[in-house]
Amino acid sequence: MSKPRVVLLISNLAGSNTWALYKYYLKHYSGDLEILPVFENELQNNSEVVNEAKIIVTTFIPIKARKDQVCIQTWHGFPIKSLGILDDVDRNDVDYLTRMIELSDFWLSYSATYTTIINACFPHLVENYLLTGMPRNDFLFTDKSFAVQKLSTLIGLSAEELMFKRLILYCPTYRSTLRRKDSQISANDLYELINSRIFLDYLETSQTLLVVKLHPFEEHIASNLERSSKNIFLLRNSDLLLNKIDLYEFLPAFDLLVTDFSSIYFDWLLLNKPIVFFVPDLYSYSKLRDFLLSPLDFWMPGVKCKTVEELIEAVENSLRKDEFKKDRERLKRVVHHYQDGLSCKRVFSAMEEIINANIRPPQIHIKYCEGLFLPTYSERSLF
Amino acid sequence: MFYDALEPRRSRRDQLVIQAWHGFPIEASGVLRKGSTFKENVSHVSNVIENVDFILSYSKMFNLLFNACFPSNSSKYALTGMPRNDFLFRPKEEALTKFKKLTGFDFKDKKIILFCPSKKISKESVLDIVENILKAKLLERTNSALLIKSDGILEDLFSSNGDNRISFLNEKILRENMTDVYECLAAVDVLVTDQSSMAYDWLLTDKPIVYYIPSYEKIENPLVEPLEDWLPGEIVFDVKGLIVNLERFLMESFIPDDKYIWLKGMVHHFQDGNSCERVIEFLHQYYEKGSE
Repeated sequence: MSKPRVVLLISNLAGSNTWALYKYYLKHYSGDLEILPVFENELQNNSEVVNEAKIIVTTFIPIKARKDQVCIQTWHGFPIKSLGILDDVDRNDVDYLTRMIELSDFWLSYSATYTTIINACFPHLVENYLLTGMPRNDFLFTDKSFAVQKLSTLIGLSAEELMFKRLILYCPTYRSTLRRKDSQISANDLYELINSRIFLDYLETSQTLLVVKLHPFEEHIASNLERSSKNIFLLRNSDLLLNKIDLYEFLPAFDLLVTDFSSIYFDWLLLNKPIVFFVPDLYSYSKLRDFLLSPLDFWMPGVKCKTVEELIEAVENSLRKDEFKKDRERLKRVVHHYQDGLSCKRVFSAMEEIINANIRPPQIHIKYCEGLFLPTYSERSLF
Repeated sequence: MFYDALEPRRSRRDQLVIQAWHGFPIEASGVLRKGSTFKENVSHVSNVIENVDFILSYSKMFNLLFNACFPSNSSKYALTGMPRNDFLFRPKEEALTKFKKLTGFDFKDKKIILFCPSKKISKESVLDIVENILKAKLLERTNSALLIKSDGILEDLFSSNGDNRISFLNEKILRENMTDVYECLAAVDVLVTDQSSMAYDWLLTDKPIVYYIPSYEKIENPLVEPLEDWLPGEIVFDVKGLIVNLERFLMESFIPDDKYIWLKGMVHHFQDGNSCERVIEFLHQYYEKGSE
């Protein structure tokens, strides 16, 4: 008898939960599931593979080739921005909302806090959540030297050279897509700011290497940007794909994270290292996109800076004094139920339970009905 | 039509229905309540969602917690603050007068402890707490009075006690006097409760709270974690801890700690006594828009 098939849909390698599951499978899994990774851009060529799966694991839009398949939504981060039915743009995209809500049989969850926040945006029933922690976060429990080695492979500097440098990662979230404009400034503007003379001088004098990773939605901008300094490395999605390394596999290499409203910082909390928020557009972003969470001082535990001068000061202070340590620890408790690097293991156990019908999606579903999402009873057979 | 309870109803299609709810939620309900797959819960949850035009909100955090249980879209939330919390900003003298009218006691020269146990704490436990407070002579030592909000059964147990430092408030007395318990809160110095919603409102007073729960398991299916970070005030699990903390709060000046401050900011967007005014203003704007 053939093994029950699980298809892992991979969108990109910028913090992919499905990639993390695949890597776990290759290294540690000895159970009865057949695991097949499929990159989303190759989905059309793999329709047979997907069609025969019992479980499809996704990181974004859920898909199903057959009604009796189970779709597990891993999503791609703990949200701070408005989302789903609580977001004005998403709210008007009924097709998107319906897919997200009606096709996701299970959602992986970080914690009760995350379940509540996600459910406020994409309503399901409590039985739709699997409290496992996020697979990609298992990478954060790997050794720093191992992570430096991976980074070294990607950026062409030796691990020894990197060990003597201060390593900072800059990960801004996207500012606009075809569907929405979330800020008055663009990703290009942000890139120009960190390429200003004062910041480049600071990187040089402090022997800092800044690795910049733009959001996958704004990857097209990255391809037009030139490397402006030996102290700045612009990491592209294509670099990650070519080397088959996910961004999270080398996060432990960095000493500090500079970001804004990207979900990466919620995961970064597990590393117990400082965060600086570079948010020149905090005001316009809050007006155009808005946040799910408030007050921001609680949910963004780090200095919020608007200018490059403030950014330099914040980086220096954070590395010297780390005054936000207590605030980060508090938020870590609120966000992460599990803090152990065993999330993939829990997800594989859950998938086995689903296959064995020990865990089943509830028979009540949330359905779209005349502008409302309402619980509805309906029987469904699986596999 | 304003509702503060579970299932709002509409008797005519053209009525405007506003849900004021009955407190800041910490335990799951609606679609996040465990066992929500039962058919009867489906119609209940649907009624709460369908029959409401607007929901009064404390803050963004309230929108998230409420929406996670009863999904609606963001335009349904009216950020006004809760009308009942305006009472917390009334003068202390006014609240003391209400107390006197309700209980017959004049607590003017005493500090007041208000004990609001929920139904999760048994009568025996409440009795045990009160007896231990009396045994420790806490009220005499701190020149305090203990006011217990109960359901009317406990009074009989203490009727022969004759202690003028203990008094009771129950729903019957409050209704007879057309007074809400919140109208008395401005006179209270320390709140003891295991009811999350009152404790979250109480944060507006900047006065101490002792959150008494025999164990975290008493909070079923919490919407957030970990509970020690989300339950307001000093959390105590036994009577001994309760008495120690009450004495501390009654004898020493109280400075809100980090948790108190951030929870207050998280729960209350508005921290004034003007919520009723904002609700009226909201209604004016709604009807002005409608008449345009």
